[in-house]
Amino acid sequence: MTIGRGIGFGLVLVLVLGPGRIPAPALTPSPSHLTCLREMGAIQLKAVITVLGKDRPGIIAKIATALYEREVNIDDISQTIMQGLFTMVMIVDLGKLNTNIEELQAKMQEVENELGMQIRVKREEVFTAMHQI
Amino acid sequence: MLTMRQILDTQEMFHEQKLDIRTVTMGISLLDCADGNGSVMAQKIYDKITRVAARLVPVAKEIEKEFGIPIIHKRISVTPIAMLAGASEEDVTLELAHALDRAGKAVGVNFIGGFSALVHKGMTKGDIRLIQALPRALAETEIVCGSVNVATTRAGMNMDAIREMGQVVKECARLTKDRDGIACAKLVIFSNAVEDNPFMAGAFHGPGEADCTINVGVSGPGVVKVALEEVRGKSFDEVAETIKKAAFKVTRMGELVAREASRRLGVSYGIVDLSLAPTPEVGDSVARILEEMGLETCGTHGSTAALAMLNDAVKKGGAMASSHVGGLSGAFIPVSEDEGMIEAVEKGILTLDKLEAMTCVCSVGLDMIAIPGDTTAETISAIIADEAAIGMINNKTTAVRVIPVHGKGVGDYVEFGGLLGRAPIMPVNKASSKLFVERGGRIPAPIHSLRN
Repeated sequence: MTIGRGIGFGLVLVLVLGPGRIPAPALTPSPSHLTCLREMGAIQLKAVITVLGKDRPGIIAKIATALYEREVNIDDISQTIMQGLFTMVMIVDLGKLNTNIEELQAKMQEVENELGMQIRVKREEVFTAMHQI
Repeated sequence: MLTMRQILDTQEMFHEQKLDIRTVTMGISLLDCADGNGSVMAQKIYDKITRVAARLVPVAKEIEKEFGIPIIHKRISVTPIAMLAGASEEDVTLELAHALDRAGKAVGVNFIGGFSALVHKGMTKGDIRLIQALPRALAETEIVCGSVNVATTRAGMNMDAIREMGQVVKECARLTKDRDGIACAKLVIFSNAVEDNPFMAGAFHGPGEADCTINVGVSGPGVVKVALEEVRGKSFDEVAETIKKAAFKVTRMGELVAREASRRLGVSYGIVDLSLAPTPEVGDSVARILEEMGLETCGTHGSTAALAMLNDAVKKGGAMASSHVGGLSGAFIPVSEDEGMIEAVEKGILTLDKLEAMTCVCSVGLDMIAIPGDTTAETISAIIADEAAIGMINNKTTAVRVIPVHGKGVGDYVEFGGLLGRAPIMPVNKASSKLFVERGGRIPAPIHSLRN
């Protein structure tokens, strides 16, 4: 279905959609579009790992080792002390992950118990969907 | 690029402020299951639901785990059963309810909605059969939810159906008197019911819908409440802006889950319902949001204005966050499911009359309200009529879900447990509405229904 719609001074917005409804405002690309992009490598499968707790030696080493073993690359890492708590945020690339995200989460749970810290792994889309338009 | 603050804020919303996806509801059309043979029809219904929804619960759990977004309920809504109930020669409506119950349990959902009839203008054979079967169907099944639409802005109010529904509510209460009238908690009587509502007990899959679709209901009163704590003492301009931003974030999660679920299940993405749905848990209350705006207790003067602004700001924020907003989309004010509302009723500040006034400006109506067991069917019908009139005149959805608790009166409590919560029995007006309800017929559609 092709819809041509004039807006403003002669600017024409043409939306090419699959069979379906006319969306109210088209804010996000369609899921199939996202899948295609991911398969093409244009969008990478990423996750955000947050670590909170009492600072102690070996936190980064333990987490980084677990990630390395699973062929997970660390794209970005930042850490700070907030209200007396060690706080670390990692953005990691799961493109070459040799297990699956559930296994990675289970491993992080293991590290969490060992270190007595709170470690959470979530797909990056959760954060970008909420904070970026 | 995401900042550390944004990432930690999001985590806090999920883990401290109880942000969750309240429900992923799969709407399934059963129109192709109609059959002249009742038993065959029941089997077709069971087969279709278990086939189409087989992967619903596993996929929802997969998304929940992978994205780290809690999805509280996985549910199914189906074509209003009254549309099928008239097809067979013998009356098998009750059997159809049991088929729904079995199918829902087989695929692991916690509620299946759509034991419903749309009778705002008149009743077909199927509608009559369904309404007659409602009390036993809701009493004998566990996860089946029913609803009846008795009024619309375009058609007016079907007062015969409203009179009937007062009796049905009483009968539901009687049949489940040993369980505090739980059947009534699974029955919603609507005005202007929507076809794509993902929330129970009022969900059904309307005739204008696709064969199968995914609708998602978000939650998040806790997120709004915490956001408002940051603007204490500031003007309403800032309050409205803060609510809009919070609602946007909440709805974006719904949009993400809806798209991902529909993609993985290979079914169409219907809508995101951006209602603020409370739970009995502390920190998940709509009443507490109103109190955060400066009201000592929810239900006092100012509550309607506060709720109107909340409801509007939620819609404005949410509408920008999703390409298909639908369902009920407004703040819910159920009593038993909201700890702040319960407390307000206990203090004697929040009354039935004030709740009725509040339903004029929000979704969805008099919801989960326990009333004395000796309330007459005519009074219940009159309560339904009042609420339906609000919906009809204001061109909005309203509903009634009241529980006349057998053997209990004002001052007593009813415990439903879980998400349905607990409720103090609220007093109703003692003066009779009998002669009013007995008139029957139809209240004509309002003049502003003539829009063409």
